[in-house]
Amino acid sequence: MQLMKNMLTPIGVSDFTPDEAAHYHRLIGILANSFESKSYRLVRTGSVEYYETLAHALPEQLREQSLKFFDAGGRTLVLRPDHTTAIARLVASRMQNDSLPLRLYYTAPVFRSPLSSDAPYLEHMQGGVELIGVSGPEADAEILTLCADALGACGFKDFVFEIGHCDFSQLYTATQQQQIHAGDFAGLGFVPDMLPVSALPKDSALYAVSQALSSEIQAKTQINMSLFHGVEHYTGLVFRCYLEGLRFPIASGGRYDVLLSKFGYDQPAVGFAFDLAMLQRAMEITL
Amino acid sequence: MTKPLVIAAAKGYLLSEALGKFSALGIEFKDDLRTSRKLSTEDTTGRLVLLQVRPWDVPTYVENGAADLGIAGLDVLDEKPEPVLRLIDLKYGACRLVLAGPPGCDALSRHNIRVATKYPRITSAYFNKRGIKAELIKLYGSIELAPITGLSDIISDLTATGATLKENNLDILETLLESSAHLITNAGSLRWRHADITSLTARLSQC
Repeated sequence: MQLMKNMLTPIGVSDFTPDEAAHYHRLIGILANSFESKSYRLVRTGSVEYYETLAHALPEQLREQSLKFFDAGGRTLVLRPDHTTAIARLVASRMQNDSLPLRLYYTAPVFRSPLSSDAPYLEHMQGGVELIGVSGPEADAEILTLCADALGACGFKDFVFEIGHCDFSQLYTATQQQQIHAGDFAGLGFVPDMLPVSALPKDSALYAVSQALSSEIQAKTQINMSLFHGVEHYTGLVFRCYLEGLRFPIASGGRYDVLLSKFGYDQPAVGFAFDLAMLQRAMEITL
Repeated sequence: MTKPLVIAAAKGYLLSEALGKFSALGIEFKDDLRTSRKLSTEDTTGRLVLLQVRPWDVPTYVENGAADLGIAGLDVLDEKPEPVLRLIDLKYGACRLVLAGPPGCDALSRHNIRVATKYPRITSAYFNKRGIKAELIKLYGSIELAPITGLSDIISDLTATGATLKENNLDILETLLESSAHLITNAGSLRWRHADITSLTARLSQC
């Protein structure tokens, strides 16, 4: 079979044939049911935004990775690079009168120019949740539990939460933080610890979160002492969820108490997102 | 039984040093990869598998998870874009990446120079930082020939003793990097084999 040159699609985007689309749609259905059973409601933001509307609230790396272009009037547009920032804008602009807390979910792609060190995805299918207007360990635990329940609904039992906290950065000097960020443990002089939940000091923020988790989830949770720098807008809990044996996290999230105030609505929030392509692949391979 | 830890080691002199280190820890491999035609072997306890790969391929094996650990020079790690985790400096295989040119060479004070190298990434980072416009010519070996034949003004190349540079009538102008062998891993292996990897790392750092 000869493949004509003009039939190629860019690296990092995927078509779905009917079978693949049906599989993807089933996955979305499982997640939607799981989220909706805990009173989370679907939202959608536009695929295209004005760049200047989002840019001031985007983490620096996402500003760099954003796919920008111009409209007919010369204004810079951006393909939605991040759900959390776009939903913060939506909530601040049209949902300030809704009663709090807001429980929201989404299943839609974000678009990012691939980093050289990254998997070459341009279109990332994501499904995630935001819990807005409530702080405290119970809200953080609700988000971790929601993630665990959704994975359970997809049929996964073997997964691990790695949790960290922005305050862990205070354990390290600026140089050490850079070394951890760069993966230079040789320069750092040690490999950061991975601890069981039982090692948390009783007066720590993460101890309170862990106490609000079921014993089953506690047993799946580890403290990663080098996890404090996930995404810039995180202000507290940071976490990643790994399926047994997989190298990249299937889900990641954290608390972002400052982001909404950048759009004029000062509310705490916490959330996470699944990488749906990875979740779909894992379901095909392991289930 | 847990899966063995897979270690990719750069073939050549780094491999001999690595085998010596393992031997000092009481770890012996079934086949001697230096004399055998085999490219992999396991240790006598079956807990480690050693792969012999080209130095430039070590980060590729480790980053993609085909190997849990790797042993490669800092020169290779800095040059290759793969984001691997560096566990310890094994403190052998010391060498330097240097700029070298013919005696009396004033290339570094000029604005537009041609540099032949196997290390375009590290070398261009250096020139960018100094604000010097340099045209890099990527070569795969015999770098010292480039200034002699007029292919380039200077070279950026690895040297241990400086003997080859001297024999080809080149003077060292600048050191870009002090290199030595490093033990590396990837985030996935460290995630799932944290205890195995940290204990082997601790043992290797003590011998």
